Amino acid sequence: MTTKKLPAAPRTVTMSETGLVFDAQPDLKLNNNRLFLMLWFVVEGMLFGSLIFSNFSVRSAQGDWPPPGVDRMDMRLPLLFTAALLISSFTAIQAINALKRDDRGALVRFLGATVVLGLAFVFGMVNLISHLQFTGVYSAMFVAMWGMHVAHAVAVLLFLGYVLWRASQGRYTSNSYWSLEAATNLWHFLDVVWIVLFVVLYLV
Amino acid sequence: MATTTIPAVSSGLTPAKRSQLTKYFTWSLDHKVIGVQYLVTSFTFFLIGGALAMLIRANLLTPNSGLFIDKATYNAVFSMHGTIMIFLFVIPTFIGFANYMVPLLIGAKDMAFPWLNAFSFWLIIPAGILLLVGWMVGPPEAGWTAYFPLSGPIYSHADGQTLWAVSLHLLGISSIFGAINFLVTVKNMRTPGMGWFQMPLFVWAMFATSIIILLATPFLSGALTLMLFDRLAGTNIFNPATGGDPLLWPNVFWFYSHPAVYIMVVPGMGILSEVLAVFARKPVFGYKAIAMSSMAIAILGFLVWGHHMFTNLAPWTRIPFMITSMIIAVPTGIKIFGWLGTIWRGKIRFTTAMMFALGFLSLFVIGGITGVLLASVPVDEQAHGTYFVVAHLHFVLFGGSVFSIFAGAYYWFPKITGRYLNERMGKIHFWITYVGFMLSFLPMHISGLYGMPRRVAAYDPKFQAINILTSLGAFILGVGQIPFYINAIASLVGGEVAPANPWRGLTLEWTTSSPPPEHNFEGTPIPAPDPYGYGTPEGAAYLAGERNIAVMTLTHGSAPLLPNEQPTGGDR
Repeated sequence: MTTKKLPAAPRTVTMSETGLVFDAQPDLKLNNNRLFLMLWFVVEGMLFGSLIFSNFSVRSAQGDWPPPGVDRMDMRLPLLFTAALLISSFTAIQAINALKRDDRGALVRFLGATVVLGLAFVFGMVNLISHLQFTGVYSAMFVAMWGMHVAHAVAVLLFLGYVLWRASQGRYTSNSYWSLEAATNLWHFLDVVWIVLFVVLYLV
Repeated sequence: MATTTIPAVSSGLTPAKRSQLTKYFTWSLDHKVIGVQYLVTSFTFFLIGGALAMLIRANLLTPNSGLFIDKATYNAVFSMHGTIMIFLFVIPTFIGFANYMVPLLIGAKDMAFPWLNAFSFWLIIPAGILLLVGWMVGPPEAGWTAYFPLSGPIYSHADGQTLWAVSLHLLGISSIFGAINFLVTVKNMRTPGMGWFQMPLFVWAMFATSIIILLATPFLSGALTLMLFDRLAGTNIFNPATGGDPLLWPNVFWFYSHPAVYIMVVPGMGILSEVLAVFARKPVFGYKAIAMSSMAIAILGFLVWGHHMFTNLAPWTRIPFMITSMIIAVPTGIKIFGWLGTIWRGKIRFTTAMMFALGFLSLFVIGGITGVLLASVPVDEQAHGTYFVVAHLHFVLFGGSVFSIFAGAYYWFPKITGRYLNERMGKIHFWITYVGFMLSFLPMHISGLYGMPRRVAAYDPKFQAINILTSLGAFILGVGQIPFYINAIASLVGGEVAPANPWRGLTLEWTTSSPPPEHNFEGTPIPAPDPYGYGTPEGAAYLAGERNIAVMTLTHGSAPLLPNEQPTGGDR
């Protein structure tokens, strides 16, 4: 998830009729965008944090978790889909590395693999969960948390699809690839969130 | 700005003037236009929320319910009053002021993300409409705090509560995008020579407020998501009868809503620092202390939410929350003493803006003291749910936030519109507001301590005298806002033209014309080395037009600084 720093811009100051004018930083936009993304991760972290907090709050009110008479969710298939998600993060990293080597073919292949694996994760989990019924607070909390994650995953996948299309058109260079960087970083973030959710939903 | 030729004899709306007006009704990326859009929208909602308050007070003239409206409608009225005032008036007004002023104060051309800025504003419109539509389909009656099971599908089966949740979701998203915008703008786009401790205190205040919004609002989104699940998807997350946790809603809701009250007061405190320094012609006393106190309030504000739940929390949590709630009075007190030190032996000019700022000082201190009283668990156990709390919250929210909003309005109106607000009307507005406010809310402390509960449409007849007094004060307060609106509209059209720097301020917004050009500044603005250097020789020189190239000296002769660099040595 390393980001590439752009070279420092030349600094000039000129005197105009109305006063001094300093040149605008050419990488101001990129710095702004990167800071936006970091702050967005904070926001999303708090959002998922509120749901995780709610989960533990409901558990302490219940006593036993899962509540008596309710089966714990089976984690074997979700583990498989989680593996797909983790591999898709790996391929996303490889995609960026490929771009840095100016290897457009590899960029598109790895990005394509990311999207395919991501779709496998989403479709797999949606299929599993759609057979669930709301039997009580356990499944309700489960669907709320998982649902929030999958909604984000779908949105970021759409963004990744758009980025894949642009990559195939050759619109990224090793010096300028902000939307690619943003999309893959968002995907990595969702990956990390899913790992935490997996632990909360299936393991503890 | 190039326009079509204007006829020599023109009356009414020329093409140029019409386009100047219509731009406020259309999508614009200019932070100044967006700021005005926020302000006009929020001041419209102030009227709606205020009308609801008048309805509340009219009904409380008699101890029996049903004078003008029935009990259910009464519940809806106070629920909407609170929701509108908080989410559609106070918060958007400060965002509006910040949108207009922060780029100017830091010497930037616009915010970091102009498109996102416009998007944040335009989310307010559907959110407001949804809330008002909710009134028609069966209004929310569970208070602005919407506790379960009252706000659940059984006791609030009308759709208004659902629309309330969706509306607040939209407002939350709008807030969050705005907060990110402010944080990035302040961090990356300050003009050369403006280090962190050369920033005006309103910018510090908005920086701190944006941190609060960033961290707290997602919890509101989480709570609303779960509420929508319970209301729409048949889940029972909050229903204790089916295994849900009844304490979950208060915990998640107040984790947002307590920091929310600091969102509503910290920007106002920033405005206070600006107005008091300018109209006392003195430097701000304890600039760094005030700046750091804003940050301290932002952080500490996350540790106190349990004081809204003293009567139903686990006993061992009460003392910790009591302690944190009292500690947060310390940075607030530091600010109060800083402001007192600012005006001490100053050359005070009693403009309307200054009057409202001084009014804030007196009223917010009273509200803060009752807050510390309520922070004490034994006091709160008696006063929770009574009018004592209503008195406290209005002293800090009206006496605090709204007074600072008016101070900012009178201070910045000339900059935004190029015209002065009429000072005589302003003084009338101030005095009626101050007297009406005191008459209305001071007695509530007494009725509260004598046991009158809040959110009731009917009460024990022994409280009637106090309630009549309170209502009388409220009507005076309500009527007293009319001069402000008349003043604003009349001044817009035909007020005295204001120069670039009518108050002789040292901050950057006064170095450009009133109103500013689209690109804000001609050339790159050079900030005063001390934005509060009133009475100093450097301040006087800056006001006289000397823009010393301070940035050159700070870099010891090497290349000039760019916006996100710090000076290489010496003062920061």
